[in-house]
Amino acid sequence: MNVPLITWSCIVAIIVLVFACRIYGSIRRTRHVAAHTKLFSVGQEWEEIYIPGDRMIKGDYDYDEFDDL
Amino acid sequence: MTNSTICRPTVKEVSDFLSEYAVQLFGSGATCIRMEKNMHRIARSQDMEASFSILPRHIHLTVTGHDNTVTSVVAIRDLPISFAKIALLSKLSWQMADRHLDFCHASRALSRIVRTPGANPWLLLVLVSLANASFCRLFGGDMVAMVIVFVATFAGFLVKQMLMERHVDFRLTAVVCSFVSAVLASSDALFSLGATPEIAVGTSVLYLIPGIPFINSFCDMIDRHYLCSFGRMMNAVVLSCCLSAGLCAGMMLMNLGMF
Repeated sequence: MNVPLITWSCIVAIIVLVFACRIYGSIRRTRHVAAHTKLFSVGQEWEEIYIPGDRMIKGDYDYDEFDDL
Repeated sequence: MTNSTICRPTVKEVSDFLSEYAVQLFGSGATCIRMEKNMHRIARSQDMEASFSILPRHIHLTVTGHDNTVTSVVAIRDLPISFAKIALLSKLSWQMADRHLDFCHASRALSRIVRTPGANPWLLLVLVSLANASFCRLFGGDMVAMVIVFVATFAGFLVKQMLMERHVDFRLTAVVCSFVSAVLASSDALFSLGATPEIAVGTSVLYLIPGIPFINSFCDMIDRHYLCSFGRMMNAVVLSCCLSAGLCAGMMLMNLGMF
């Protein structure tokens, strides 16, 4: 029995299987991410022009504090 | 609309921050001197003092503030080597020291750095394979040997990525990967394809050589961090032994060379 050739064939078969699984997993992950990525969405102003240190204004209640000043 | 309140951290908060910072820096492959400088810089930016010692599996950290001292012991985690992360962590320490970055913002920045994704695994796979094929050429291998080393490295590194994702012990990973690479690299001798089969087998496992731990252990020794240096050196030696075991097993099964 040719041990080196059998060993080589087994390793190649396993590696091909592993490679196929990785490719399949990678494609599935990419599709999953693409399905959950919105092309357009409505954001808030502070998300675009936020400067570290700015107060987070999330609702009308937050503006009321400024009206008191 | 800027918030005028300044985030004043307690000694415990700074200690927790520095613990996570040290673990990330150490795990990413920084030397002890780099850790020492960065951590002292951060502690001084908060008007505190930090001293630490690195043991083989833990970091022992003491932070002293105005009226309090906190000592913590944090376990070292196995993280992928990332020079990009080391650069970001160093930059954060300079921002805290020179630009007086607020502690709360620094904590958020640290969390972001921790979550930074690593390099694309497929790109890494191709680049490591190319690098190893180039090593083969440097050692005098012919074109056939280079192609075989590329394929052997690709397969071995693919298995390594898969095993590392599943948190398999790094020693077992080294044995399995070197065995796979050695068996595939022996195709040159098995099918009489090229003129330099021994170089193909020899260079097929070079990607597993723990270069950074070896270099860091020497740097730490020069800086008199002997315990850490010894710990890193032992890790590197153990990894090299595992690599050799896999290579020898592969060569023995393929009836190559010294067996």
